[in-house]
Amino acid sequence: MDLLIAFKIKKNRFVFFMGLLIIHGCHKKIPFDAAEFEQIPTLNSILATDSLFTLHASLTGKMGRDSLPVLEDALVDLYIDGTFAQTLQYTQKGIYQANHRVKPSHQYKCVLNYPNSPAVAASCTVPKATPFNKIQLIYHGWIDETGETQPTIVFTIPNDTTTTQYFDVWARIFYRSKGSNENFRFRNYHQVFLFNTEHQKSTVVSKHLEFSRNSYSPNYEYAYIFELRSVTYGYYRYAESLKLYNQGRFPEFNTSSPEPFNLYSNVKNGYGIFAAYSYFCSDTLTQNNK
Amino acid sequence: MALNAQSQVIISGFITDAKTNETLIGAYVHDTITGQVVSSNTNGYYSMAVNKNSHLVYSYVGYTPQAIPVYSTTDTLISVFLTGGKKLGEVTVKARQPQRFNTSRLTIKEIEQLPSLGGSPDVLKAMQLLPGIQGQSESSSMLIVRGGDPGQNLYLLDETPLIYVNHLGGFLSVFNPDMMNDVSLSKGGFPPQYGGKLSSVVNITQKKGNASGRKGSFGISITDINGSMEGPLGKKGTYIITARKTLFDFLLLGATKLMNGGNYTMRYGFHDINSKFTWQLNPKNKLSVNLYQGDDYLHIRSKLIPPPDMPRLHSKIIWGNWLAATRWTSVLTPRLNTETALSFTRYRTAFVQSASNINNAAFKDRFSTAVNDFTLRHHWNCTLNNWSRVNAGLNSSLIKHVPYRYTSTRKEIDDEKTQEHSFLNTLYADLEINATKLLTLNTGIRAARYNINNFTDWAFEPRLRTTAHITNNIDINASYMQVKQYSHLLFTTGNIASNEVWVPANNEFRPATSDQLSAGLMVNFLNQQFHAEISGYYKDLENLSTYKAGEIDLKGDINWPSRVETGGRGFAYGLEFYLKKNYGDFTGSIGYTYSRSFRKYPNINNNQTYPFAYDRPHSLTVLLNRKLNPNWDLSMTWVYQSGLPYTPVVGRQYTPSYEYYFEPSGSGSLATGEAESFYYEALIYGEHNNGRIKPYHRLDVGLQYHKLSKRGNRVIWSFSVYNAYNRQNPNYYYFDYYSTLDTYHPQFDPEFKPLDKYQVSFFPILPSVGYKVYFEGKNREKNPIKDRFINFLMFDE
Repeated sequence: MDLLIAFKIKKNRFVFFMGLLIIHGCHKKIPFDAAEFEQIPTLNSILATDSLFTLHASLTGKMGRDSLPVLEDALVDLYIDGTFAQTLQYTQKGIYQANHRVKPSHQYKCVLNYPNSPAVAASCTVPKATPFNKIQLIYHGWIDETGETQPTIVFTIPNDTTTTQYFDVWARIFYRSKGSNENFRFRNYHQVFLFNTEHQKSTVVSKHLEFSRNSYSPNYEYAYIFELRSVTYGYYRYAESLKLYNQGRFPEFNTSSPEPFNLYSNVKNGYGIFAAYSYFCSDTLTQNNK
Repeated sequence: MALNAQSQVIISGFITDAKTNETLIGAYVHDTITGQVVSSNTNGYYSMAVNKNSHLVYSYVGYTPQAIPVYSTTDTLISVFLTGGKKLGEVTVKARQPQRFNTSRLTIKEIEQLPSLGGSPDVLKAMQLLPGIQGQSESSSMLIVRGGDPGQNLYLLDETPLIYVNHLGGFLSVFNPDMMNDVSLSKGGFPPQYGGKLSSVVNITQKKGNASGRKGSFGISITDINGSMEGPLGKKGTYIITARKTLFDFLLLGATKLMNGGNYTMRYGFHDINSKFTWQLNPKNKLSVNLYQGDDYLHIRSKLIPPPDMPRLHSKIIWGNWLAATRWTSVLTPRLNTETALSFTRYRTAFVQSASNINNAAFKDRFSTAVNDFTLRHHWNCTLNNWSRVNAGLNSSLIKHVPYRYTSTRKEIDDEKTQEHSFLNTLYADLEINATKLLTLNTGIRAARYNINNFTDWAFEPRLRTTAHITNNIDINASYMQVKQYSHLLFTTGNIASNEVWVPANNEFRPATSDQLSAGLMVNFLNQQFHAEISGYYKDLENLSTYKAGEIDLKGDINWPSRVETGGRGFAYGLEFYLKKNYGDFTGSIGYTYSRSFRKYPNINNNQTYPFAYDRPHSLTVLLNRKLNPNWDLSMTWVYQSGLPYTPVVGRQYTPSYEYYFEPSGSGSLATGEAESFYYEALIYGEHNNGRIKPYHRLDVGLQYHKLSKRGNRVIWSFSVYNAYNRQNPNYYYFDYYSTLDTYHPQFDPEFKPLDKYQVSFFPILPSVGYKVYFEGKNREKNPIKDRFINFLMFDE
């Protein structure tokens, strides 16, 4: 239930905003005739190192009440470092899988063939994982809009000044009753910060990041594992576009007209995202072992 | 050039109301010998060269004309006091009247008669009913003039620029009608005196206060409670003070307290205080001081989570203006009138969040953006002879922009601030030549030097206006102007909280420019009962800036310039038709505008031209006023506009759940937190602004009841119905699964749910009532000046 608190705040604000400024603001369902939209293959895959090579294939479609079709009979070929590796096996719900585990520093390319469509292709090279040089958890790092203290992490990583690297920091969050000796239980897993090293001249990059657990209970204590993802350029662009897409799709308070933004795609002749990352995990950090 | 300069004298002076000594702006002075006509400016000042034996007629709408024979052999200052009471139509000037092309003008009476949202008349909302002028949105007072951006309008309050003009998210403007004397809006063909904004000059001249005695008013409406007080200030001065304050903020506070048991309260409101003090030092010199302060504020206080010792939180958004200005008007000679002004204007928006009652962890964070403008202005108005005059002057401004400032009491957070000082120095000159009785030519230039950090820019803006007087009642005009703007307003379409940010022009954000060509025809007919105008324009815009695609603000990003798209271009064109009936049982107007406006940015819509966010091809307004009997007035307005463009959803695609969905294992082990991704449907948007919302139309009806109270005070009850036939005008569309206020977030839900299309409308039928009482002090006859009609002052006195 405590997960809903932040959302309730926004909802309350929204209700009062609407009542005040829009007086009798009216949301009304209206009929619409969706224009035809070409059915174009969509290829989606965000690959993590050591995971099985997996890909989702589907078709775009016009707006409607039925879910979009997935491709069950496409021919999907996998190339590794420019060499044909294998044809993917269809499993279920549009998922195709190889028996190959994703490795860093390799280039992966997929070619999807589907009747009456040009070949759809995408490729990416999996970056090597970058370790944390040093990482520190500030358990009571800052205070969010609900008044709850939230954590901050401070870390450094090595920087290759000859190229731009792209990173995405994620947190795995665990909890247990305050003062108890029981094991921590899994709570939450979400993105902390997306960044790149484009303007970093130093050989070491330092970051001071405030983030939110997105939940609160005064009766719990928390533990964290931080995951530093070294991501492809496509991943970075997609993550950026997703943020703007969501911002426009779900505007705060829903009181303004949406600012539409399309998702980034690096798929030739199709839609979707084909990206990859390697990751390095920190030790488990708690209030005591900072 | 009809007169020999040797036989001419210069007659100049001020035209004011005989009872209140209020300035009469746009009053006519007609030389019946030569047929020459001039009109008074915003100081009520006029100047004309006449024959040594001449006959002048002074007239103003609703006032009894004064005829004055002039036998003077020397230049003379003649100040004239006109007495009100005549209905329009009883008096007409049988001469050519100076026409103001590209300019829309409304009298305060016209504004107050219009039915209004919430029962409070509003200047900018009224302006939106005139051709070529549109509102940003239904709820906004911001103006879109001839396809320009909302940040391209220069708002002048007694010639002092005001930066932010909205209250209540645009529901009302900051201009209090109680304070106003005259309102005009110039859409093109700006005189060189004006510049710095590309699309319009909104000139609001305020009253100077009643000289004959103390009087005031008190009003209450759905939106606010308001009052005004004016009167003499010593023997030579006058003052006027007005104030407005919302009432519903306290109602809202109480309601939210009751609904949430005191755990969550909200208060929203605005206020403004406006004052002007004027001293007529002597017949030739006048000094005035303007002070204005107005703010909107939203306070949210919460004590959300048990137990009761949890922190108290306070979130506050506050935005508004300060203005302080002093102005000295002097008649140096009958030929030369000068005005010197010093002003300070400040606009700021601040988001403040603070927490208390937290053990050792209280904090206060503040994000703000601000603009401070110090300006020194000097203006000359010189009548050379009966066929030429010169307006010239200089402006010098120091402007401090703070696009981004973040401060925090928390030790671990560094304060962040970007601020830039810019200097803008401007020289201008405008030569008016009445070449023949048939032709008036205004030619001028505005030269500016702008400096900020290492960036310097020079501007030479040519201005040309020419008017052919076909007959006394038919004029044709053509004009060209170039304008440069040294600041950019970043805005989004329709966000309620003010996220408008001003950024200064510099190397990165180049100064925006506009070139506008316009031409028009004006006709008065049936004894000036009707006035018709047809105007056309073409406007070219360069170096525009806006938020980058998808961005909606600069908050939380010290690298905010990366969120701004620059190098935009635009063009707009249109035809405007206007027919106005000035007097009779029915008065009113019909205005129609066909206009298009487009934009092109390198990184928006793949560098392809797209319709501007406020492109409305068709706009029709009908205004009707009828005096039903001595006590009741009826007014109606009907508005029809093409729907605004929007970016439509054209299709769907699957995308990975970047934020993972979890099936907690429940084993209780730290190691088991298995993630499971899924694929959900995302929207695909079409070309930028390629769709169009349904047309907008609305009928407003207003009734005003006038009476005298038992104490002899004038009372007005205003009843109005906004959107009388309850049209649900769409403001925007969106797709959602639910019909409730909750939003469905498919990225958190692996189960497919079909989306439906929804429209959001703002104001349905909205009746309102307003009450206003005007009272006069006991000393109303203490200092009567109604018997004064003329003041002569030979200039060598």
